[in-house]
Amino acid sequence: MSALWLGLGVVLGGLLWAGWSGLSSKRARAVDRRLLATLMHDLRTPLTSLQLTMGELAHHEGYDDDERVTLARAIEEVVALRSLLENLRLVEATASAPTPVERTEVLLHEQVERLVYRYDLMAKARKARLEIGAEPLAVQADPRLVELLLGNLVELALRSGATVVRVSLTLPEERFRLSCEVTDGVLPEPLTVQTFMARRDADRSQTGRSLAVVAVGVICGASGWSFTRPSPTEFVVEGRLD
Amino acid sequence: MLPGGVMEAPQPRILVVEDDTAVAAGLVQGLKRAGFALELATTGPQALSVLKTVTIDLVLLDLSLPEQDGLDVLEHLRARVSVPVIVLTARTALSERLKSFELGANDFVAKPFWFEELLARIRAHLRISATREHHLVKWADCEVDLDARRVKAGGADVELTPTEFSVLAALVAHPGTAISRDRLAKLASNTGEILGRTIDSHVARIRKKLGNGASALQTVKAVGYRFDTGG
Repeated sequence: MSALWLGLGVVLGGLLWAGWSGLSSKRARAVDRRLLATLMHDLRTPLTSLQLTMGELAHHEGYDDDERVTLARAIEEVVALRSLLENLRLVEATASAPTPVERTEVLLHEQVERLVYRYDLMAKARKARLEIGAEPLAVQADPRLVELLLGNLVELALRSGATVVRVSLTLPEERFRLSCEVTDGVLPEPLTVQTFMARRDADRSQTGRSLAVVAVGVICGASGWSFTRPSPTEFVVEGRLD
Repeated sequence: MLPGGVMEAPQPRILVVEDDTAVAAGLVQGLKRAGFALELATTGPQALSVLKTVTIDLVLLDLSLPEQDGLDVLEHLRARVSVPVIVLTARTALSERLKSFELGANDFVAKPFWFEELLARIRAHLRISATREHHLVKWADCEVDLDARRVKAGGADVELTPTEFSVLAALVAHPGTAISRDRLAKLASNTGEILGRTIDSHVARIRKKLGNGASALQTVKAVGYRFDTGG
């Protein structure tokens, strides 16, 4: 699994870099984008099968400590692989053109509430707890991007080493405020695509994490929302009510 | 039977329509552990055939199926049953999502997903479905099950197209009321694709298929149609 993850990361990272650095023609970039889209589409079904298997294995009892650690690592890698691909696709597309946003009504509170189920296994594997609270809110947005944004926030929070991650959606005066807070651990700073590219070669160990922060910024920018880290333990996404 | 003679509630039965064997196996395993009874179909025609013989409480439908596209299956399936349909798909474009809802899907889950999330959504849809009233309209030798989207005439199943069923459902839901062609088109369509001027041909075909019960679909001169059983 690790080899697959790393291999894909290197191959796709190369594609992304080629697209960004301007070495490729517009046509080559379009081919890269299509390749990434096809790859992601083709990987969705085997990833589903892997996730279902992980979920089933997690229900079994009687593992020893080593087996439990192995399972936890496998779950994390499946989560990471999915995010890496989705984020790469998004950031690659952004590097060559504005992010296309298709809008429809998205019940943001439902998406927030679903995080409990989406990150239940990863949280348990890290012995962390997810606390969710959301006021009802419909926004005009791209449901796929909203799902990716929320997933990135929670993954970054869990990977920061937090034992408790709190996600809350509130509606203070004509805007919404989505907060993702950790009780311990340090969240990474927001990054632009340009900064990410510049730093990428210096520290490859942070590529997945940094890419997730970049993707959150890209999605917020494309959706007309702001993304900040008012303190090292909190991410905040804010937007005006439609 | 539970102690004290209390009948145990039957397990909800889920139809899984998925051609990928690994995903289907994972779904079947998880759903069985969660206490559901299951039917599995790997193609659209198989799924439609299961619906003819087995009472299903919820359908999990993959969109990329061999033989017949999932959206086409969804349209046919909606002509037969009104049970919740959750689309599971690797085709995540917004257009696919909107088309699925337009054709009657109740929910859309993009692959890859975690089982616990799917389970939560299944339970939520079954809860909503269980609290709905069952609507059955009977006259002459005809029977329209508005929930199951099933029509019988003379004891036999009548095959209506999704549009024909929607037109008939709009009429029987307003007994004794004259409904204009445009209004009928609007009532029968969520998306505006049925035009008022095509209503006459739809009604003519429905009448032909209903046989003895056709007389209840009355023409109201200069207006449109009325469902009136004379009772």
